[in-house]
Amino acid sequence: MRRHVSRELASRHDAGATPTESVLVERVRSGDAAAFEEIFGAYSRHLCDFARSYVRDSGMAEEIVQNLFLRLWMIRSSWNPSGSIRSYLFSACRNGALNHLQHEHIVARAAERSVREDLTPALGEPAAAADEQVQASELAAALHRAVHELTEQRRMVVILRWEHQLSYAEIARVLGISVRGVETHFARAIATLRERLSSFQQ
Amino acid sequence: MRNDDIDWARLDRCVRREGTPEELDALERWVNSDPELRALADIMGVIGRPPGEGAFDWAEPEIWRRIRRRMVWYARESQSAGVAREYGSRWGAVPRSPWYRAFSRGVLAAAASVLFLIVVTSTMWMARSRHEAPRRTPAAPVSMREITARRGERVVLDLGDGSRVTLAAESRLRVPATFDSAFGPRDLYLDGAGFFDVHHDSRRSFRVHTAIGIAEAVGTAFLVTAYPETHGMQVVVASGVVALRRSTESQSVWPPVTLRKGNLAHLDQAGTATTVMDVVNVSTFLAWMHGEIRFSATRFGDVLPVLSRWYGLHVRLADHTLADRRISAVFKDKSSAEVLDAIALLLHLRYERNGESVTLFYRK
Repeated sequence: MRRHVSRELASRHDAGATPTESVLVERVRSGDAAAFEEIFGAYSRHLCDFARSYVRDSGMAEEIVQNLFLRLWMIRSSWNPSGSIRSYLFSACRNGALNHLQHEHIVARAAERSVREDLTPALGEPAAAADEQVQASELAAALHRAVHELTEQRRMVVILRWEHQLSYAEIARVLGISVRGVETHFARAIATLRERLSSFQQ
Repeated sequence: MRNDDIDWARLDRCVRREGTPEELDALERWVNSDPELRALADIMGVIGRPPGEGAFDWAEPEIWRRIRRRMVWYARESQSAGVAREYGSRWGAVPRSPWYRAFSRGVLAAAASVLFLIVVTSTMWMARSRHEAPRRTPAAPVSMREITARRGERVVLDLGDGSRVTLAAESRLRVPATFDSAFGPRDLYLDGAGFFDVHHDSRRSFRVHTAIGIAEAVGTAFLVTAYPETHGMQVVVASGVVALRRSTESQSVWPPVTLRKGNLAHLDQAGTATTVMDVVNVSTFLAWMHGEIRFSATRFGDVLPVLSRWYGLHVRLADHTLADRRISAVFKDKSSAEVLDAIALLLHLRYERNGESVTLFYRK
């Protein structure tokens, strides 16, 4: 199960990197490409999913993740994540996604149109929606939509917490806010979801 | 189930796998007891996905390949069987990890590279200063990275633009810093022999410079050999097109020779002769990249430097008349002892070995 892979590598409480993580970071700093590849293998899929949550475009999500790792390799000798490797990567991914969105916004403004061009077709493939059992329940689908209608910060807190299993501390690091702020956002998100779904007719 | 009854706290703990094994078991049973709860838990696990869209099968191996191509690293391989591979230490070890191997489905085959062998044998080692003379290069590069394959080994080097170079034994490749930029020509400087698998980029020319000439290609793969015994520069094109010209200043006088797949060109060292012929089987020139040495009615005198370089030995003949004998043989992943024994058997010789020094005698 893909979710378990990243957990083995990451610290749940983000008090800092675990001993095994410290070793991995050191290896990457010294230019160990095998260690770097190991990190890629553990996180790339999740980071692609996370990037897609922001940019809603698969091709762009892949490119964001690709650039993320390239940049990391370039600065590897000074790489010093203050928290877990996971929080560093998600944070960098978010920055990359936001940069892209900003750029897109500027480009769209300059061109005076709002059509998004898929200039970089994704390398992967969308899986057949028919295989997804999660579509079975209308309640679940309503929850899905409700989450994506939350405000940006709350939506991201929910996504990072439920899909990517990050701790509050890690989420705080990724979003650049305090742990208290994360807890507040989350609490408010739950309250909103609860309200939205209570009016849902089964 | 009424929506007001949804226990979000419990769902949250379940989805985040928070708790002791017993608690997790209880949570699982609770979630599975109600299909709506199960559906909610499932959607929470993929909540970041844009609504209405399915899962995406990310092409991680392809993404990694793109990243990897921009990370310059190299792998050294010993020519003798039984010796472990050593990976380039400057950029860290690069063994293929299992997850990548498992996903690899011939993605590498998709690389749009044309192979051409440029066998450039040059007087490089003896005339190194001449090759390094600044006048040969239009603009002296500020900084050069240097990769050397020693005697007895070959080096596989992945360059930042996606091209791959396999250096033969006793060869040196110099890569200017400008190579890694996104624009401008891609220039490389070669002593010895190397196989160039060029990543196609129509905006950037790819040039291999030796003391004698310059082989230019766009998206091709070719072997360049420039050893002392080549007495010049030899180019073999496996596919694509290569423009070959002399590295003299009067470029307008000598227009480049266009080589195509299957062509073998030889620029002679001193004079102006350029010979072009067709080779029947280009792969024979590439065999060394896979640990195979081939001799096809080769003059024994020309065999010795190849063997010496391949195994890091100094092989001599006690009797010079031996040099004109011809030998045809194929050795794959053989140790030096096996090859020497085989040759001794073939030519009725015996040999004496003293460390790296080998002398071949007539057998009485």
